[in-house]
Amino acid sequence: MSTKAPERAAAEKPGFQLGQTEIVAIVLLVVLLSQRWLLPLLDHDLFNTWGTIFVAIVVQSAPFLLGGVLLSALISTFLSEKALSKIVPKSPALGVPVAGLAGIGLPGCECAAVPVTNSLIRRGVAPAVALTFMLAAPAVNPAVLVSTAVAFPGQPMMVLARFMASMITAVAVGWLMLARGKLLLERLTNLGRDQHAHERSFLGNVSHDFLHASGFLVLGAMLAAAVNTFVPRSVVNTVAGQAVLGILTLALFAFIVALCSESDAFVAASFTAFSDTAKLVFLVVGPAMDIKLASMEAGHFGMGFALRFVPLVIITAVASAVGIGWWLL
Amino acid sequence: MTRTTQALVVGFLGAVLLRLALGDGYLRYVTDWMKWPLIVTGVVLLGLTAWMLLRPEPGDEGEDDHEHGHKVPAMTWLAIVPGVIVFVASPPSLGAYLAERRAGDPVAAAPDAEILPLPASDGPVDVEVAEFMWRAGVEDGSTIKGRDIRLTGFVSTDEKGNWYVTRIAIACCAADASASRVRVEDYDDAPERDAWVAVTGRWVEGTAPGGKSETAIEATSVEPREAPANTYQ
Repeated sequence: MSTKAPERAAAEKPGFQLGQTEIVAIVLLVVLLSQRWLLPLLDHDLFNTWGTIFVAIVVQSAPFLLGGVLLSALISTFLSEKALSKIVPKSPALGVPVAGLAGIGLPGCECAAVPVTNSLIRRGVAPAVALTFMLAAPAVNPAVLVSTAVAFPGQPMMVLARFMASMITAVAVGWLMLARGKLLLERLTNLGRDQHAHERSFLGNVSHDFLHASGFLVLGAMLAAAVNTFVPRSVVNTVAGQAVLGILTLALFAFIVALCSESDAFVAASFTAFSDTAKLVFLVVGPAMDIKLASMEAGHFGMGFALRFVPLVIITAVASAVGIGWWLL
Repeated sequence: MTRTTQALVVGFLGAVLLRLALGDGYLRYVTDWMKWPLIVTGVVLLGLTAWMLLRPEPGDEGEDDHEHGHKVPAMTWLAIVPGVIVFVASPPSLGAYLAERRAGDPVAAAPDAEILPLPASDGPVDVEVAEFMWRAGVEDGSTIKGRDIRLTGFVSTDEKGNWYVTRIAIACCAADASASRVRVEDYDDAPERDAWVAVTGRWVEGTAPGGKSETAIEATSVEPREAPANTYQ
């Protein structure tokens, strides 16, 4: 199979392949040379602000994405299923909380978590366990907790509440999927099983994973930058006084602005008009699910999966944050 | 997408990151500690490109288990966009436009620690715009009352014709930017928007963030300044 398919592909479109590379090369060259003439046309405040925020999200995420891709390629290439099965508990129900705790050890951005999760599923880890790890890792690692403590001086309960609510969200989603999402998980297992992953070299896996993730990351960044630029924050602040509406608004806002989990606490702290519980919702929803992650997950795991998984995570995160906020804050 | 094209896409992104990190360009988008991670990322991506061009593994580029036969998702084309935007538009540091849109946002609270008095000095004391604002808010502004203070920032305006000395702070990247600004009083000859200035003067008593009147400084002199390499706080 692996030798026949490329031959067929090459036979079908030999001329096209050559043309594509040249076209891309020419476009890139034109872009480099036309800078001077295009610049005045695009010099507009709104476009510039969007461009700055968009490039900023991509630049900030790129090292984390590459780190995640390198780690996932290590798992795909060198970690055998046997070795992994020794680390991960056999029963998925037990594996879910273990994966949640393991998330403490990956101090990365959420962009790193998606390719790593994909490679874990590829290597035979139960999808519910891998997804729990994906939800927990960006939210409960030390870097995020420290930045939360810095952003909320004198409110150590905020750090504890964030840790607990995020952990509960990750574990609850894992268990919910085990209990009710059998079909979804099976689809994911089949989709995720990439027989070629083990045949490819380490660098082959790196380039494969990077190319798969980068486009979706860029799409998410484009959308998030658009929301960030075009929706004034004052719209968000108008509902600050209402408890329920405030919570729902900050949950939605966390989803669409797609901030890095290392910096979202500073933005949350600036929503001074909102209740602490609403701020906690913002901090719990953001790392677990946002527009950038939804885009990457649709790319890795399929649209059908993302359409069910995204609302499930958001609802669980809001419920868990409200519960913890009501208890602790 | 052919393997050569894929290599070009990866290499282009790597080159753009490297170019931004080796100059001051990256400071328009992220904080300064990102310099080395970006350089490493750029170098690794360029190395990956060289490897992809030199060692096209035919068995590897075949099919991904997706039925539609694409070797990589069509979405991967979007990976060119950030580089194109950096080269074509070269988006500048966030400035007056964003500050004016975010003007109504609440600013960060004063640090929890004890507020130290400003250092004693014969001339004006340099104070950050954000610090000036929270100092105005605590203890009725007693730490800045009657002191000659110099604020440095860029110029933003409002629709009433006031102008402000302004700074933008970022915690992680430009997506989480927040603006703080102080209205400049008694200086009608407003400099151009987005121009960098050093404003020397005294706090207008009673003005504070969230108070009846936004924080203001009564200017005795306004001097033009070069924009710093890192415009953010």
